[in-house]
Amino acid sequence: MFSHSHAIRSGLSGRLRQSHEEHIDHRYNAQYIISAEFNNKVGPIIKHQYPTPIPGFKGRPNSKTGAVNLASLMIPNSIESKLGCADFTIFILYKDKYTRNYQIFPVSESSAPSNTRANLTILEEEEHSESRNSKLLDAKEPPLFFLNVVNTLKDDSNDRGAIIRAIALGTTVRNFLIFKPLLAMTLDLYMRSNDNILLLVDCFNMINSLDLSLAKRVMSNSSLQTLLSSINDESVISEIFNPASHNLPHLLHLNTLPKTDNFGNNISFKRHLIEYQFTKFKPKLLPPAFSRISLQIDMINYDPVKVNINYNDHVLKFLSKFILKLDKLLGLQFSWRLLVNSTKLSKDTLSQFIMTLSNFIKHFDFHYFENAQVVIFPYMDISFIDALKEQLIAHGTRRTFTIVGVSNPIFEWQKDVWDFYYDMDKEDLQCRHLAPPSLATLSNNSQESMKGSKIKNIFSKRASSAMLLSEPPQRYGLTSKMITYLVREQHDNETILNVFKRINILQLLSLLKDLENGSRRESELSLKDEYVVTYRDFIIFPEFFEYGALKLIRCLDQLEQDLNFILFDGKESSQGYELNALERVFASLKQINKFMGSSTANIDKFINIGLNFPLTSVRNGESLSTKDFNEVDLEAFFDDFKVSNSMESLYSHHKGVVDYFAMKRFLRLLFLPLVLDSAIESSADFMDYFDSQATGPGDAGLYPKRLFHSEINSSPMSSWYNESSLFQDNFTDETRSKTISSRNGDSSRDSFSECDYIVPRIKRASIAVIRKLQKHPLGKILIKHKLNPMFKSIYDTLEEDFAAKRKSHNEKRSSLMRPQSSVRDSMNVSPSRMELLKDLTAISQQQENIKLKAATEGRPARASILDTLNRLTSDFNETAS
Amino acid sequence: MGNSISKVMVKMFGYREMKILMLGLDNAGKTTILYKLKLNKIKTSAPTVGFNVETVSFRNVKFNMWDVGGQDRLRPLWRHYFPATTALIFVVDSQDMKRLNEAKEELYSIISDKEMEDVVLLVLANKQDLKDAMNPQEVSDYLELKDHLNNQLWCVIGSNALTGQGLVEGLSWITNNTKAKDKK
Repeated sequence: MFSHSHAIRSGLSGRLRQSHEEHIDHRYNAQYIISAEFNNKVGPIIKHQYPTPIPGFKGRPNSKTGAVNLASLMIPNSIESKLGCADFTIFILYKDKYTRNYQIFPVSESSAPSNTRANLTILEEEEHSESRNSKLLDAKEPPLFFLNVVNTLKDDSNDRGAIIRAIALGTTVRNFLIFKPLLAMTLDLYMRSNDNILLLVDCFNMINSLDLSLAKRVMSNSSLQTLLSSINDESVISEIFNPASHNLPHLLHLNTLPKTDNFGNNISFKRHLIEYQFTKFKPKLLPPAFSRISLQIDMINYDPVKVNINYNDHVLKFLSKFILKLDKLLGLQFSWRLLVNSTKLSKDTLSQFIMTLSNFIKHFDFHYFENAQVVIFPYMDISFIDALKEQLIAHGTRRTFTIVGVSNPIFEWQKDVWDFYYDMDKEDLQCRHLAPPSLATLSNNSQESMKGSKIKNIFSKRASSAMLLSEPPQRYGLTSKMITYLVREQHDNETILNVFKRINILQLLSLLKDLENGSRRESELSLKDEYVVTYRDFIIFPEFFEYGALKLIRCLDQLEQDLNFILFDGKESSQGYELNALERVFASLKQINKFMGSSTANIDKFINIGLNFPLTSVRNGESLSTKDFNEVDLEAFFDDFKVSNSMESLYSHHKGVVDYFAMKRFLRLLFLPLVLDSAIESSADFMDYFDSQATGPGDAGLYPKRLFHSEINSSPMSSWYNESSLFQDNFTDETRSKTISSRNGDSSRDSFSECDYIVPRIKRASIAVIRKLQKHPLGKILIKHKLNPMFKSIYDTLEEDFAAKRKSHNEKRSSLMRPQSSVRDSMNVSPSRMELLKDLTAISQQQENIKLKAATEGRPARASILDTLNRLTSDFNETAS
Repeated sequence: MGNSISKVMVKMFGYREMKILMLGLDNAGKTTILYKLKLNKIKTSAPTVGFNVETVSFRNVKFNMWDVGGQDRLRPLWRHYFPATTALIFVVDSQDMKRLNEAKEELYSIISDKEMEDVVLLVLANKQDLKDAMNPQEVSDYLELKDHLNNQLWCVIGSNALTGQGLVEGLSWITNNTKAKDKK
């Protein structure tokens, strides 16, 4: 006889063998359901806990233990004033893995990882793509989110005229808001049934009767989720989730989309929603109509913990004030405790507001700041104030970040628990510049103590009272500036998030540049923490701080600079590099190709970074950590870009500042290398043009500007980051082989031979990247819907050409290795290729005139080709949705 | 017009703002008193969960009146409302003699707190309309305020929240006895 171990039985294979009853008993979807009521003599009490009392909250309602406190979170302040209007609160319990008890504050990390340079430089890559929680607080158990619904009903039989009751569902599912309708309806029945616990049991079992493993798998695939949430384009989303296409099964690695779960409950796919029906569950007490309610799960996770509030209503208004104040906090002593109060808004809005803020700092997936304690409390009652104080004191030496939602203005008097007090009703932010108790210890760092002592003295004089900070002038960082446009232009949450992602990448690039230039002092902070301290703009996307992502971001940035230099009026960024611009383009494409080839998840990551690749010109050579955007008119600033001779001139059909900023720019980065041409790049006329423009050390003027080699051999990264040569790739001899030759002899001839050598390689590398992109279901859709058709045409022609060459290559391998005087002479061209060549020839014939004109206007003639390209597709808009 | 005149009057005769804390056992009538003063309406259909706070203007004084729930488990939370209180209104159900001792214990527990040692104390002997209700003197005697509160201003007034009886009188007493103690 075989007996399966518990591990196997509880694993996937065991799960598949489970009967429906066993599945329900395992409580995969919801772990607890509890109820509470307001007792007229005692106050809020817990009535029922099912299936067992929550460990740590087993106390009877009559005892002065945690049970009462939990009920205080379920029966929120002033709920009695809204007769018949259900409201919702959220609370979170954390399991202590040693005591096995749950508690209301996060479990402290007794053995926090040491903050050393070696292990905290940048975030580590995820080992597995489907491990959303892999970085979540190491070995800690996932928190238990409680969605609580509460209501007050008039009841003449009650001696106080009304009954107030609540039920809460505890679950580890992040999108717990899907249970809202079911819980609200159950509460209604429960209130009218005189506390019949069997109703709760029925509801609980019904929720657990579904096998949500498919939805959970989709939700927990972090690389897929970050990718999907970056699309923000209705046509692309529709295409991905179109049932007629095979894209969704491909993305989910399924042969076909299932029609039922393991137990026969119906599943349907409606756009980006998975809809589960309770087909198999037969409720005992709940009306049969309940089982006709469906659970709708959004397959796109825009937020780590799902919320359904509009950022425009409250969130942006808050951020616009908060970020400006954060900027005034002391640098390395950066920490804050935020209290948000609202007595007028629903507790649902308040709780979701707090969850939104926690989403911005990615609290439930990452450490916002290493070794810091972060407390997220969506709704807190005054009865928890002492516990909160104890919690803060217990971690007195640690950097602390707290976000607490309250619905009681008396918290304003509890000044020892907040640095920022935000009144959502009045939209008023108070700030106390008290040095937190922990700062004394934190000042072990000599730099901190040097800088902090003077400033601490200044603020210690004001320590006794809260004060409103003095009014502007205040520095507007890029985030604050963009928020003003977001508020003005009223965009949806997805666009807002995508703007923040672009800002994150831009600021990250700027920070890396600052570190490279040595303009920032050395610190022991990790790059992410350095970012948090430097920009203090609250919002962070840790996925961009992973090693591979950072490398890719820099690579795309370099690629854009080099293409702008080669094809447009961009500046040469040769400083610090051994390679010339064309070689760098080749190296960048190779690096991208290599990254994409290493795993499927990397293609997801690449597309995600590409989709969020920002308008890098915003940096304008300045450091974003110090730049003040207060007086900058971004609309005019962007208008200048649109008419400049740069990539930005290619598409300029976006109207608003936000739309233009959030435009997707990466496809053109991959396709522009395809328009490089050896003959044009190395034409003597153009060389003359560039020679006259070339500036640089030594005899740079003798060489074509674009092929100039810097003598400076320094790392792309400086400061301590270059100690491990983080982002330096060892360029192969292949990349450099022609580099030396361009320095000797006749520059034009050698340049031409160099171009002739490198340009076809660039195109091949570009095509290899595009091919990989096309194999990805989303990449294919993006190319199909979002690519400029002219690029598509060029790509198809070249692809055909290279295919022919490959065939020929097999036959005459050695002959193809020779530099060719003219690519066109030896090519087998298809009819469509011929057509394109005719077009290009026609364009070339006009170049004499354009060249002369361009020279007087200071624009390289090459831009005319791209102008033509753009004119041909003037109605095309890469991000039109 | 009237509003402008009152503003001028406030400027002429001075304007004060003070925090009033209204406490008492559950079902004593605190919320009814608050909304009778604020809206001149009876607005009680459920026990208070947590607190109510309203601003009531009387003469040239703006009272920020906090009414905090009096259930057993809520009473330990009263202390969080103590800071910056000018006057305490302790409401007693004059008919509920069984719990009068419980009320007395809670009252002494409050006024023995250091943060409350300077507040003026108004005891409202509420529900005077009910049969067998103790009169203010009886409530005062039972509470033994005369014997224990030598350094604190105090007063016991009979009230009926449903009619408003005694409420204005109570506010008037507070106004007259907090000139030197009010909080701007």
